Amino acid sequence: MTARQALVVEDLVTVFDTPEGEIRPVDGVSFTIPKGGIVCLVGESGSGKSVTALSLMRLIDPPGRIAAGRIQLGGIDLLTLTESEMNHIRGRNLAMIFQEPLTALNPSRRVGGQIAEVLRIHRSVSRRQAMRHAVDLLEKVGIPDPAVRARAYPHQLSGGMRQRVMIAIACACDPDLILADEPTTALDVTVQAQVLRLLVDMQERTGSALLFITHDLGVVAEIADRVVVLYAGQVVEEAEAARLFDSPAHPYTEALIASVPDVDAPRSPKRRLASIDGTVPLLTESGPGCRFRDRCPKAHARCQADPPLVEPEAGRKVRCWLHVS
Amino acid sequence: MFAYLRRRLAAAALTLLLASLVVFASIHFLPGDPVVILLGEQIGGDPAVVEAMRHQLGLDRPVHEQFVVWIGNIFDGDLGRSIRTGEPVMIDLLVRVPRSLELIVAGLFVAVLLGVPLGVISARERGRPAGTIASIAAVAGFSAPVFVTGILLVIVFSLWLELLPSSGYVAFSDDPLLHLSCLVLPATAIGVAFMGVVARMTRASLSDTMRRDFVRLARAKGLSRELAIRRHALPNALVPVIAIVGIRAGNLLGGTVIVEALFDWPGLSSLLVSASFSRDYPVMQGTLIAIFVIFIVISFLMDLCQGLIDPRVRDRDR
Amino acid sequence: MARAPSIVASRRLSSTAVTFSGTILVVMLLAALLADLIGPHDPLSIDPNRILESPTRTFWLGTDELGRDLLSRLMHGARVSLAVAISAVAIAAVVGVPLGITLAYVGGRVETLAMRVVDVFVSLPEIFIAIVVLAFAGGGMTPLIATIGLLYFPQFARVSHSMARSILVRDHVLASRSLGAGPLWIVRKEVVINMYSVIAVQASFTLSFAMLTEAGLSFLGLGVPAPTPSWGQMIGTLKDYIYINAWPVVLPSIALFATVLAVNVLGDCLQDRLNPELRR
Repeated sequence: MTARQALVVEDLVTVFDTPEGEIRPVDGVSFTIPKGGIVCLVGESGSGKSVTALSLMRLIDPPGRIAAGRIQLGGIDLLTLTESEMNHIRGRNLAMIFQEPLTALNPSRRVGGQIAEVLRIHRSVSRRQAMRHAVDLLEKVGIPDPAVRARAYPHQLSGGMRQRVMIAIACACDPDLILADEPTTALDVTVQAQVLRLLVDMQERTGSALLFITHDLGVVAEIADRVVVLYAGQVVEEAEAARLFDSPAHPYTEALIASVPDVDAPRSPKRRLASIDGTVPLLTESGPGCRFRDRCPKAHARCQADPPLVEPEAGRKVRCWLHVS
Repeated sequence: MFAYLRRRLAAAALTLLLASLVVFASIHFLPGDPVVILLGEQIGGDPAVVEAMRHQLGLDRPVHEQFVVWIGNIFDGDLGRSIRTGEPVMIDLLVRVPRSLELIVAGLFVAVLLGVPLGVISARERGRPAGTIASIAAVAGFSAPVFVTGILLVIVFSLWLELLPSSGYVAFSDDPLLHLSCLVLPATAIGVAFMGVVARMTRASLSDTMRRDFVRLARAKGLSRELAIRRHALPNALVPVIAIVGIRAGNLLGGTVIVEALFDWPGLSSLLVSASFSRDYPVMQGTLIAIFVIFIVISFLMDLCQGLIDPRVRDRDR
Repeated sequence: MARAPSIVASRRLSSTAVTFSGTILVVMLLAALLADLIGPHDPLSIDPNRILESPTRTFWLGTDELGRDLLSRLMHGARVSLAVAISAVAIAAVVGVPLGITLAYVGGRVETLAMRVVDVFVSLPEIFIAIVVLAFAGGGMTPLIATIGLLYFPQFARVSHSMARSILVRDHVLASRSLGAGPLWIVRKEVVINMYSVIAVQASFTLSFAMLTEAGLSFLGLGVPAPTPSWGQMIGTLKDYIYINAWPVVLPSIALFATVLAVNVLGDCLQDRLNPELRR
């Protein structure tokens, strides 16, 4: 069973201890990613998407900590590994692409060296061999004149190119799973599509699974096999992409889809931009009950209690009283 | 890189010009007539003699002319003669400059040797006992006046342990070991005072840098926390530390004043002090210029280091 | 949730450190103010029979090289050192702040040039100039205070200039200016009011520098004229006698250290409380 899944996350809980009390940005999150598949993790800011990704990498620093759950990567529970064993996994089996490449790359090192570094950490190659691989990778990610560009510093490259470098770093050791935390959000719209295309291509080539974190449903529609919808630290819906867009099960998902402006719809003065009233609840305010009920148009009496996660059909999960008979 | 160097050189030259103006002005517009002082009250009472002396020393020319002549002489290597001893100022300076430099370099060395690790520990182990202790040590070093450290060192190492001499100077060529042992205490006194500054800056800078995304990326690549900090965070964090050393080089130099007096180290500062007591114009001017030159050179070298380490600095517009 | 780490750290140090520093400063201030009343002996009275003694029942902290009571001299020294430092800071502020504000207002090339010069001044080692100036000006408190004050006015000018600059371009100030409000009115109503905290913090830092400079100059014999006691001067004289008795020189050293440390710690806390955004 585990052979089919690249990643299985069960009841992951990450907390932060602050002077004001305990915050739970990730509160019992579970989902799976099939081998070589693309799963999109969707949610607004404050939903816990980035923290989930960092938790998967076990890069949560104090005052944060992973409090509970299981993270099975290829059958091994990452939470049971020692730090040094985890260091072996990071960069090699599990890689991450960050949102803002200008801050994520070391400003005082040339990009070629930064790519070569990953190779030298996990494989015993000489510096020269590693640099050659790095230049190779630069070419694969579509950077023109790779040998010259390898000697550039991050601030000398454009945003799109920097992100390609990040992709090269992530793919260098052919990881089993790539975590991409909103990799296109910080880019110009014109560049976004290119980088997106590149990422999917690389992923196919290396056979890696991809967890793509985003708040942009357009991207989701384009690339996702499966979608996981996150709200206030919990999974509210998980489904195959096509099914999700066809018939969203959770009111939040419905609202998200509805809020994407439809360019093709006929213009009318009465039509307003659909948005979801209210804001994501503060992570400290988690009393009992469905966390979406204050903003949900279909809220009712049962919503005062924590809704269970149910499976209304095969391959789909929803956390909503509407699907509980 | 070279354009950057040229810009920094130009800035240094400008500062030097400004400094020499300040030096010249501060001495020439002060109360007290050096000629009268030189000749003493007896002879100085005779105006004719005073005038003759003044003419001989070139002190009767208009101020701006004196300045130009003075600058010209500096480039010729002629800094005038001591009013008191009649010896060329340049010679005395040439002897003393290396001694003060030695003190400063040794002090800097101590400061960095102690300060950077302290800063790294207090940043890395924040919240844990090692970190707190390191922070306190840094603040204490920073606040302790150079005297206090100096005197403490003398009491411990010269008085009690009788390990090192409490004052004096022996040339390196005469007795290298004794020379070095004379150097240790004064250098440490200066170093400890500066160590606090270095440690503080390192801690602040490293704390900030540690949190930056690229350190996280380094860990995402599979580097352990220590390696990620050491290889990625620290080099970037050291840039502002170097900057602060450059900026605070003045403090180091200022520290030499106390230290040279405390340990009888015959360097530039002690020359300045004795020249000031005897109102020896040329010596005072020459020494001040030498001091400022050293200061500007240190700043320039620090700018250079910064440019080497952080490529973004080179491209930045002045 | 993101609190700047240094603030968290200094919160922890802060409560014990603040109380400790506050106590030290209060003690020193009291000693300074009440030296005449509380001091057991005349700080100037010489007794050649009792030189360099360790603490005894008559002389609680011992005596110096001329047989004078160390405790009384320390207390009077507190008065002198604190008075000089505080006056010097006052002068520096009174000269520097208006200068900085004026420069910010004047703008243009004058401003840029002047600020460049100020920048150079702030980084140059100032003590050398002080030595030269004092050597010429002769001994005495006035030249001493004036010199130290003038050494530090550039720092105040710099700080007040940058604050004034940022205030002058705030929206509501620009609005007032466009309505024809004259410079004096703006300065009074907008600029000065917002600058108190920054000036206060700068004053505390400058205070510790001023104390150290005065101590250094007195140590060299260029500062407070003997026989008036000042900590720096006491250290300067007593250091020559450590082989006879190390105790006397340690006392003013500790006093100086403790006071400077206290000022620094309090200045730091002031900085954190008043200006959390600006970190030195």
